[in-house]
Amino acid sequence: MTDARRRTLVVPAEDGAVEALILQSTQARLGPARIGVMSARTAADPATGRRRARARLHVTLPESTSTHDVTAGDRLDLGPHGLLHVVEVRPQDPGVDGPETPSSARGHVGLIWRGEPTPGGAE
Amino acid sequence: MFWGARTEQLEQLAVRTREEGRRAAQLHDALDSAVRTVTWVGEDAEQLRTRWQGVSAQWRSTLEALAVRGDELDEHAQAQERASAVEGGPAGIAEDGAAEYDDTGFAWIGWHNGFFGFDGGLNPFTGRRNLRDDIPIDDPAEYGIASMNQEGVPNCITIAMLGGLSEQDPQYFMDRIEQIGPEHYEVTLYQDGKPVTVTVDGEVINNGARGSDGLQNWMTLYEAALVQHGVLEEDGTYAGSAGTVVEAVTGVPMPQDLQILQDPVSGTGLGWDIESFGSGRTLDARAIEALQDQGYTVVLGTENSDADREGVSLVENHAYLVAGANGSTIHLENPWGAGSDYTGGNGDRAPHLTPEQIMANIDSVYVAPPRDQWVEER
Repeated sequence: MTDARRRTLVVPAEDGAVEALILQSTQARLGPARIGVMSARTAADPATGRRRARARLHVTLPESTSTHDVTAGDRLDLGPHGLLHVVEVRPQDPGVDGPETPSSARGHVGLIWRGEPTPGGAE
Repeated sequence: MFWGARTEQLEQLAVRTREEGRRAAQLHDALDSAVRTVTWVGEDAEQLRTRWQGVSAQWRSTLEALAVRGDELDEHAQAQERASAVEGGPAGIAEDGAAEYDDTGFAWIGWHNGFFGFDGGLNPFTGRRNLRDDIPIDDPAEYGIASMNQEGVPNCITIAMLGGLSEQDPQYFMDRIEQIGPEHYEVTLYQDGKPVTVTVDGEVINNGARGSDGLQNWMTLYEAALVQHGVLEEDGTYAGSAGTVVEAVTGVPMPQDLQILQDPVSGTGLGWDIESFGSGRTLDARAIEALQDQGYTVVLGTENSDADREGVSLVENHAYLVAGANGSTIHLENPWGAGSDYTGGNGDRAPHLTPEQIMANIDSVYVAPPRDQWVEER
């Protein structure tokens, strides 16, 4: 199975959530949010020093834009626009450089968006 | 949480796809017979028959696609069986909340091929989207930088170039897109400097180039035409060098040696070309301004690096269109675009880079020839 056919996908889930795999340098619409993956790489966690796959997301909401450094398991509270769960971060290939980087060498982020905020807010 | 497809459902869907395809074919044949045999003359009758020809062609295309999809579903089911036998199932989320990733990619087999399985739901058609019948192509306001919206396909250079080139002359592109019929367009591209007419109909990439409103626009048509022209792959990514996009769109190759350009201040050659730029490190805002003054469209590529970025946060491995330069700073536009829900409030969409930030973030440059060099024949 060729990995070169990896691509950004957004699919609805039966419980009303939306699931997405977003390739690095691309973006996707999840509900009212537009999510772009600015980078995805293995880097040291600022708090623990542990090296993990981390991503920088660009989040565009109707009234604002923001960037977020995330790792798998993180949740972003989008306020009235729901909750974003970071399921997976796959690092981009550090040996490939530039905008012509093929899909197979780009990292990706797996996300689940739910329109209804979790009671008690983000974790 | 993320999945590999359930093979029994894939097989069931393959059967269902073929059955529905047969029913759709029967319905098509019945309608086709009715249109051909009905006793009806006059202008309205001719319009109906003409329109039916377009609908029928697309219908037949869809039927063929259904047959292919049915076969593909069987192939995916078999591949999933093999993958599961080897890997033991799809990836998920570990107890600590971290995602497990299967380096073989087997667990992502559904994603990679446009099919997915999730709690019984399977959609074999997520890879493509029907071409719209109402794409605005006759209004110059629909072209230019504001029309850029790269969504899920990593072909940022293409989108940035189309945005910059159409900003220079929207009419050039309007003259090369024609709607022939319902969901049926023609786009004029170039092969070896000669015009080539490419038909765009049927389906387009699901999350490819779109307008600022998220709907298909002229760039969607160009993207589809470039795929058919062989410059882009079926998924919209580059089939070869990104520079071939420029040649296909303008009829003129991307210049490979720009040493003829003169520094407007010193009068000396800028001394860099595309091939040596990475090591030359001589590109600065002044050079870019000189290029713009001479009518070149300039797209810059960012690095794959988390080194010191001089306080600017750009998308890595990405292309940005140069929208302006004033000698000390350059104004970039992200081909991610400015949708109606995108304020760009933090500057990420349209950053202004200082010389230090240029050096820290940019490592490649793509240049399209000035408007007066584009091929006029069409």
